[in-house]
Amino acid sequence: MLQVEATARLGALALDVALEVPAGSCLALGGPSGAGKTTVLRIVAGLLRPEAGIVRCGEETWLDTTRGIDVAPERRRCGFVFQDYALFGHMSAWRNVAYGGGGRLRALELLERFGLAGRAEARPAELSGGERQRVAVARALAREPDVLLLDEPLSALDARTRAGAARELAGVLRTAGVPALLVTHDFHEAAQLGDRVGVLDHGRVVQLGEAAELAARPASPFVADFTGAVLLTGVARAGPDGVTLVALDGGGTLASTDAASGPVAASVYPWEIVLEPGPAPGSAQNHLGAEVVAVTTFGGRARVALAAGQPLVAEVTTAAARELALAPGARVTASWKAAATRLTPR
Amino acid sequence: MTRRGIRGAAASRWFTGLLVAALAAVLAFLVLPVLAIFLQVPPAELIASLGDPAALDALRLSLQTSLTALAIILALGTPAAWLLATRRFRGRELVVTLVELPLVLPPAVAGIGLLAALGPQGLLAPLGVKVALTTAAVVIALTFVSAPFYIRQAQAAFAAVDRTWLDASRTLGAGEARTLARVAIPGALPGLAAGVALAWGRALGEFGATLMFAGSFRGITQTVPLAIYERFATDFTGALALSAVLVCASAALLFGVKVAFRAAS
Repeated sequence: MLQVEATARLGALALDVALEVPAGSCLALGGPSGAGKTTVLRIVAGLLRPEAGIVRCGEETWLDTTRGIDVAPERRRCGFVFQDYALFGHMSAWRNVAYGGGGRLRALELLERFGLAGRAEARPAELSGGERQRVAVARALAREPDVLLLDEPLSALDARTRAGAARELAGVLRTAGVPALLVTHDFHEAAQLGDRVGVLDHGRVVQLGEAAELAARPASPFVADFTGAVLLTGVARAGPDGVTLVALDGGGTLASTDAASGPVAASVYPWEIVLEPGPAPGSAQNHLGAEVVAVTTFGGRARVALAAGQPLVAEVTTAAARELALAPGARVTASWKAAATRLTPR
Repeated sequence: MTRRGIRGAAASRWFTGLLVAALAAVLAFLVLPVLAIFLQVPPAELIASLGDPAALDALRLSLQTSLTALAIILALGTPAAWLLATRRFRGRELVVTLVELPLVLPPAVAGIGLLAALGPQGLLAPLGVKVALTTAAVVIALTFVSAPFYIRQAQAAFAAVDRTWLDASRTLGAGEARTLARVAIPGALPGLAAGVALAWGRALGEFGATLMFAGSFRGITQTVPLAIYERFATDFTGALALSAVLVCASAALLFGVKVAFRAAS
């Protein structure tokens, strides 16, 4: 069990967090840059001392500002994977891995486990991005750490390498058996690698829970935005049959099964939105007339940017996009279910 | 091509000509004395005059004292530079300026200062410090004038080492001393090597402070520059031969610096 409580003031950032991560579990910290995600990792590792705080790992206390305890970073058993990996450029891959201890044999064993047996003598500059990432993870594990700290471990990789590296990392986290803290700005990465996801904003955890829970019931517009939902602002009032009606800023009305009143942010996922040709049928709820602004296809999906009083994004199959002849300037109607519309107060 | 284009090209050619002329003048002026050292006396005679025992003594003493000074500078200057590169403290700017001061001090002032501090009637004389006119005085003078060259360079080289390397080393179980030895020094090596070359070059050429503080006694304090000075009136060929050796050593050091910088970038 890793326990972190910290308050710190760093420039514009006022950090105030309290987190617990059980052994064998990974907590993914998400949020925009400057939210304090990396700062939390640095506090756990002892690279940064907060004004007040506690860091406990298992039976050991690494930091307790009230009792004057502050264990040096080299004496906290943290496996830290840095954002740009921070591999020592003057050392071969195996010497990098062996730096934290364990000797040459253990280093070679770890490199082999990550499919790098043939690259042991290579310098970091000679390795690909994916290989560097794996050496960095191997180096963090070589220390037999009591806690794993991963700072954007996948962000330096290109899209093709990333999917494989994410699967591999998920395996590492499953088998490591220690608490893990992972920082990412990508919700999908957080959902894939974290057993729980904490969303940080301006130094505070604004919501913490399972990824599916965050996506389904975002506690704030900020969290909804982080999970990838489209946000529409408006004013809510009670409607018939227990449905809430939201008069959208910029025109249109939508319905939600969530209860709310006053100014709200309505969030809906792009893949919940259905597109039909032609203008909206009268004043039907959750039917917004929209003009196509741009169409981006990736894989079998098409992401359609729409102008509908407020910007909107729909995700449809490429087959549907072809059938609807979606192109910039085309008029369509976007619709979705009241049950797929989440309301959060503004 | 338009008329304007032609005129522009002509103007640019004219200006380039001017630049080339300036460079040629600078080069001729800077290279001529160096070249003259080698051209004034036939090579055979140059080599023969190096056989002079006094010349050999000077060469040996120069090598011995400059290497001793270098060892002292490395041993104390490296940790000092590391501290200046990694810590922020009150008065840091003042400390940095004091360390750099000997760079701009005239050698005569350095010599007087060393005498006033460590001479027969110096500040530390009551403590029994008697080093003036000994080989130790030469080493002290060389250390004084050349240490700033190394420390400045080392400080910049340490500051340029990737901070996350140092953080990574700490989280991997290495204390600060081990981080310095295994990550920071290897990471800063090209910069440190350049600092060594600059300091060594300065030490080999040191003249004024040594003459005032240590004197010019053959085999004890007479380094190569002092030996050259002693014989330029009586044995010009011998002075030329020793100068040729210093030119070669300095050129080799300069070349070493360039190679080190190229390896760093």
